[in-house]
Formats: sequence, C-alpha cells, structure tokens
Amino acid sequence: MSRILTARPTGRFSELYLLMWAGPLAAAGLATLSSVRSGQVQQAALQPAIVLLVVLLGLHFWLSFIGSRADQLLLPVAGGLAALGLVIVGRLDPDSLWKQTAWVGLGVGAAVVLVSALSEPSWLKRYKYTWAVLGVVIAGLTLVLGRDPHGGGASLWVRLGPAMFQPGEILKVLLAVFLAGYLDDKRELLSAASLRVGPLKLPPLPYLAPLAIMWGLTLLLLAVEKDLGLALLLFGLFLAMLYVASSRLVYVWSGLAAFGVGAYVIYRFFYYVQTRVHGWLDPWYDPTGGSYQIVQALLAIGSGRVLGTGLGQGMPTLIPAAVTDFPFAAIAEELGLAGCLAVVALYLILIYRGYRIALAAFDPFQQLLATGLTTVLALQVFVIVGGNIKLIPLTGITLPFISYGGSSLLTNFAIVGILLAISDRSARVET
Amino acid sequence: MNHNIRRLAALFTVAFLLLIGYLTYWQVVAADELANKMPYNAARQQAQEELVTRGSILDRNGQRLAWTEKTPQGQSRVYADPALVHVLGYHSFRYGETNIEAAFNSYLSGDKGLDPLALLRKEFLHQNVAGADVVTTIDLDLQKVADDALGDWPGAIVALDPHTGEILALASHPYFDPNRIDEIWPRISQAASQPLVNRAAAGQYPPGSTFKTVTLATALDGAVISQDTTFTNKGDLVVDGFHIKYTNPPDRPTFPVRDAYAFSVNAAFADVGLKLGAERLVQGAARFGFGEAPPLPGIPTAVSTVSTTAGFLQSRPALASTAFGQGELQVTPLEMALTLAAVANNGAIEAPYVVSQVRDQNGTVYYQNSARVWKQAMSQSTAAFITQAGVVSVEQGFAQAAQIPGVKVAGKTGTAEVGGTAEPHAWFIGFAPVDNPSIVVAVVRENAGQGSGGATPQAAKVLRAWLANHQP
Repeated sequence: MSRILTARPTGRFSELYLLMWAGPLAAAGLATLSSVRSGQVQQAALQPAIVLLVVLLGLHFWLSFIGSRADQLLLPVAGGLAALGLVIVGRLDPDSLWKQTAWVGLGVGAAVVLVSALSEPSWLKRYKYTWAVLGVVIAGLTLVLGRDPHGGGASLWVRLGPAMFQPGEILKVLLAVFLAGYLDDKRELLSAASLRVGPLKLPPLPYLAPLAIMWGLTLLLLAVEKDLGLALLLFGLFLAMLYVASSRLVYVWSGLAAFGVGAYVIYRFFYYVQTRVHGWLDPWYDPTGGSYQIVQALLAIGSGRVLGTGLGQGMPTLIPAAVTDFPFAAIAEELGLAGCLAVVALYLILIYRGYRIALAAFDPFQQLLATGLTTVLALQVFVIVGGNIKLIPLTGITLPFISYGGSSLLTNFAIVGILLAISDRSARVET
Repeated sequence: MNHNIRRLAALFTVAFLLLIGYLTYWQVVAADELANKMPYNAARQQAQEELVTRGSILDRNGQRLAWTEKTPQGQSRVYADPALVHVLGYHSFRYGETNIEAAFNSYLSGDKGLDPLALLRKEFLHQNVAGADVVTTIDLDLQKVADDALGDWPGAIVALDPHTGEILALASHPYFDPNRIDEIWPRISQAASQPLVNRAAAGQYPPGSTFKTVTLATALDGAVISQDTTFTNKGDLVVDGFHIKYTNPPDRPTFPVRDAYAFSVNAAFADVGLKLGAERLVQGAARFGFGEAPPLPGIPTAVSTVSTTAGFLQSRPALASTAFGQGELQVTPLEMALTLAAVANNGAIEAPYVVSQVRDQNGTVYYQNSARVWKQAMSQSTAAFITQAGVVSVEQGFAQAAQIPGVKVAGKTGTAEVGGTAEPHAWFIGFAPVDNPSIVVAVVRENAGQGSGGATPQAAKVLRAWLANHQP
C-alpha cells in the first residue's frame, strides 16, 4: 500500500482525490452552523471552506510540481482535521474563524517552505546544537517574558508584534530535531559498559546527562510555568526517542520513576497542580469551583450520547475556554460518539502513516526524527483527549489541527511538512 | 530500531483504544446519570425543556390557571392565582415540580400523549413540541371566595361535589406564590408558619364535634342505638373518674339522638362510644376511610387516624372522649369533607378527584377520570337520618350561621380543644341543598375559637357563592 502510494513516479491522484473531501467537509459544517443561526445558508459563511480548499490544493500542486513522492495520506488527513477545526472554531467562537483560517493558510505555507527546503532532511542534523540553543533561548524567553492573557494559570504566551505566541509549541519540534541528531550520534555507545558507582549500574554518561537535563528542564517548566501538559509532552517525547534509539526499557522506567518523584514533590507544593489533580480524581467534590471546567466538559460529553445533538444544537459553550482547551468535548456533545470515533480514527491514520514514514526513512537520523515528530502528535492527542474525558488530569495542551491557536497550527503543519520531506527522501531512494 | 518504532506505534494504538473505551463509557453507560446531575446540568435541561411549550392547566369552566409564556430570557410559568399553589403545585427548573405539575408532568411536557412518530420527527428537526393541557375540576371563582373567606388566618377549606367526588375548591392558608418560587424558596422552606404544608389535604387536626358524624353513623348501623333512642340529662357523666360535662344540652330533660347531634351533647356521644367499644368505633371509622390516605391523583393526601398510640382506646375515658371528637383523633379537612359527602350521597363516598381530563390543543383526549365509589360508609337510611340531624343543627343548633334564605342546609360545627391555653380550632362541615346536594364544604381555622363563630360563617360564604350559580 505504502509502496503504491509513495513509489509511483508521477501523479499524486490519491492525494488529490482525498483532498477533495476536506473542502466539502468544512463547507457542510459551516453551512449547518449558518442555517442553525440564521435559518438560511449564507454564502459568506462558506468562504473559509473555500480558502481552506484552495490552500490545501496549492500545497498539493506544489508537491506535484516539484515531483515529490511524499506520502499521499498525510496531507488529506491533516487537511480534514483542519477542516473540522474550522467548523468547531466557527461553532464555539465565530469571531476567531477568520483568524483560524489565516493560521491554517500560514501553517500550510510553512509546510511548503519545509518541503522545499528539506530535499535532504539530514541537513537538519548538522545544526543540532543550534536547534538546542534556540530551544533553550525560547524556553528562557518564555520564563522571563511569559504572559497569561486568559488567566488560566500558565504564563505561556509571548507578545510578538500584533500576535501572541506560545513558544512552547515550537519547542517540541526543536527538541525532536535535536534529540534525533544527538541520539543518532550516540547510538554507537549503546553497547558501551555502564557507568558504575559502587554497587549501582547507571546508564552510560551520554544517556545519563541528557536524561538528567531533560528531567530538570521539564520539572522546571512544571514548577515555573505550571504547565503540566507541556512537561508531560516533552518528557514523554524524550523517553520515547530514547527508547527507540537505545532499545533499553530500563531507561524509560527509571525516567518515569524520576519524573514521578519530581512531579509528586511539585504536586505537594503547588496549589495549581493540586486543583487539576483533585478535579481529575473527584470532579464532583467541588463541581462549581476547582473542577467546574471538567464537570461542564463531562456533562457536555454525556449529553452527546451516540449520535450527538447535532452541530449548533448543543451547549458546549458552557465549558469555559472550550475553543482552546475543550474542542474534543464540544465534538463529543454535538457530533456524539460517532463523530469522536471518526476524529480519533483520523488521528490514528495520521500517526500510523507517521510511523510508517519513520520505518521507511532514509537514514537513522531521519528515522528518529520522524518517530519523534509522530510521537509529538500522538502524545498531544492522547494528553488532551484524555484530559477532556477525565482519563488523565486536565492540561492546557491543544488538540492538533482542531484547537484554536496560531502557534499550534503552525507547528503541527510544520511537523506534517517535515514528515512529507522525509517520506519523499526515502521514496526517491526506493526507485 | 524498526522493532522499537513498531512497539511505540502499538503502545499508542492501545492508548487510543483506552480513550475510545472511556469515551464510550461516558456517552453510553453514564450518559443518563450525567444528564440528571442536578443542579450542575440545569442549563442543558432547561434548554431541553425550552423546546417544549408546557401545557396549560385549566379550571372546570376553561379559565386558565397556569400557562407558559415565552420571554426573551426563556420560558416562564405563570399562575393566575397564587393561592392555588396547593392544588397545582409549582414548576421550577431549580426546584422541580409538585402536585399536579409533577403528577401530570409527562403529559404537560409532551412526553406522553403525543404520537411517538410525530414526536421523533419534531425532535429530529428541533421543532417546538406543545404539551397537552390538564383540565381540573376547580372552579376559580369559588376558589377565590374560599380564599377570601379564610383571609390571613391559617386554616383550610375543601369544597367538593358529593355525587361525583369533584374537588371544586381547595384552599390552604398560608400559601406562597409559585410565580416567584426560585426567589422565595429559601425563606418559605424555613418559615415557622409552614406555608409549604397543604393543610387541606395533608394537615392533621383534632376534629372536635364534627367526628360525631362518624360515631353516630357507626352506632346506628351497628344497632347500638336506634333513630328513636332518647337521652336524659343526668348531669355530668363520670367515666372512671373522668368528668364529661353535659355541655350544650337542649333546654329539655329528655331529648332524642337527633338533638344530641344537633346540639353536640358530649356526654351523650361518650355514652354511645362506650356502648360501641373501641373495636367497632375503629372499624366504623375505617368505613369512612380512616387509616388510609384518600386517593386524589395530583395532590398528596395524609392519613386520618382514630388514635396514634397503640392501646390508647383500651382506656374508657379515652374511648369516651374519642367518640365525641377529642382523644388522639387526627383528621384532614379533606377526610372530614368526604365524611359528610357520604351523608350527602346516600352513604357512599365517591373517590375525590381534581384532574378530570388531559387533552391536546386539537381536542384529542389522553386521560379521562371517571367517577367511582371509594367507600360505602353507611346505610341510606342512616344517611337520611344524619341529614335531618344536620338540618336541625343549622336551623336550631350551633350552625345557624350557615343558614341560607330559600335553601335547606345541613351541617355540623366542631370546636377542637388543642390543650394548654391556646384557643381551640374552629370547624364546620356542611352541605346544600339538602334535597339534592351539589356541594359539601369543610372548613377548619386554626385557634379561631368556637366552630359556630370561627368557621361556620366562612363556610356559609362558600355555600352561598356556589348556590347562587348552581341552584337546581
């Protein structure tokens, strides 16, 4: 299947055919919303769908034009999710719909740039320490300049001209690139003897050092930024890549244990984290106070049942910050379990294709990079959906391609761009 | 490395299945539980109910008693007469429903009675559903007269049709305004005057002499005395050292049982009660419905009891005082109205009802109450005899305030001692016209003194108002 889709020398017909669904999906959703609100379908309401289709087709034709043999499922799936994102943003916060559309355009533009620039993705590896320094600078800037415009408790935004950015979003890509480069270099040391300190057998220093740094960095994020979600995401990404590179599960377990101990200490000392955890363990203890958001989300999810109330017919706006933090609960209410299963299936396809690309990648660096970027997507989906449905404590992570937010859209389309570049590189070798 | 990537993919597949499983739990298994998480889900439930225009509640002449109005803030329930709250109940998103609003909620809210296919179609298209209307037996004009008669005084009035069991008016004071339930609830639920208690159907009072109706009917039907029995004024009756005064004797040394009832002679009824014995008295009261709550769909009713502690009636003084209406007797005004309804209806008590019909706006009927006998309380001849005794009471005895020019009225007063220094409760039960009764009324006013002055004039107002429009 993958061979058929990626190895054909010319024509990206599967991609073109599948992309044709994304525009009508957004159009149908926006038309429904328009008719629910005003009793008729207003043409202006459909414009974002047209923009989306044009932008996605633009990337498609660019890929065809440069003769790319990249994976043909990635773009339609990401585009379909972005289409659903437009509908959900249009539902929850109509004033932000055009901004969201513009961000999708910029995100696709970023993918165009990356696909074009990374005809040889291993080029990224040469500057791995540059990316690391950039990441540290960005993290540092956030710590110093971070603002909390929504009063959600986490100061993650930095003002840049007219827009507010969440630098943490870019951090996860930079970390994946750096780790891919670093771990690829140190892979040879896998069989090296362990570091012995008395009776203790520790991992070799090249593993121990980044493990300790990552542990410290993420816990610092948790303590200072109070951002449980980003900490979970970055540390999870690190452990996943460490495991894939080293095959040593013991590192994963010891990493998890160390993270657990640190997280518990922070939990004991930070009220904000306690609120989130208590809301998770027993939301009905304080349903109008600390766990108001999650309680409202659960009520919304429950009211959707199997088929949902219908787009525009539920009351998902009762959930505070639904458009950024609870888009999945809104989907659950209005599109029901059926709609949620479709969304989860789309993410599964995206992640499945991502790992396929990793398996087929040209060199170990690109393999690690594709693994890391796919893991970033998978972890985000799991953490935010799990938080929305109270499987795990709630965090402020965004739902990729669907949540309202420019930084998030830009970053996730950038991930798609890099994955496309990696799959194109491997396809060119196969033929 | 490829092996590890596959394992990572497998890990996330499992994690996503976990998400799907938990999501299925919330949306399928726990959905009902979540939907009913009140008050946290009130907004969503309200929105659901906004899709339904709740049906109206009408009085017997088609006047609207309760209806739903659309306002910019959503729907609001309007009640024409706050005093009817003890009949209709209230409908609140916060505090739910009571009485008729609760018992007939499924009709009013359109869940029941509509064509299921039409309902499904409307639900699917998010179209407004109209609930069915509930038609009551209440006469709004008579209800207002009853409320005026009670005034600010705590008490209750029950008016019903003895031939059908239809409740014509049911007043219980103090009451509260169901139009403002959300706002006043915290206050009225704590108020010492207990405005939430429906005194007419569920308030339990000592009945005083009105209970002599039960004693007399039981003694006559049990052949303990006959209609010709006479009593002699022998001064106080002493039962095991307990003095029962020959209160209220007619001005004669010897008088028939009819006058003992009409002039409410306690000693005579004490004597009758002792002859009857506890067992027969309790059995006789049971034939009137004592010991069970009267069936009244839409309004919760309380049980009336002859005694509250076991073995109480084994004491002769207790039995004697129970026979004339004191002791541990606990009765509701509704039960006393039904007791006299048996007298007015040849001995049979029709099951009371307040909702006669449920129908939609097209006139399709979904519920129809039909008259049925609840209790056969006494024989026809005993009923006729007690009617005559009641007429004497109104024409010559203590119930003279109930006289209506041109109409023959039968009645019985009661003055129920409550112990201590508090004034007694004033009672009156009566019906008219005697030849073909169309209304029975029971009045109790708390601590209002003698029944002759504290309750009878109020009952007369209700009887007069009804008969002015319902002369046969």
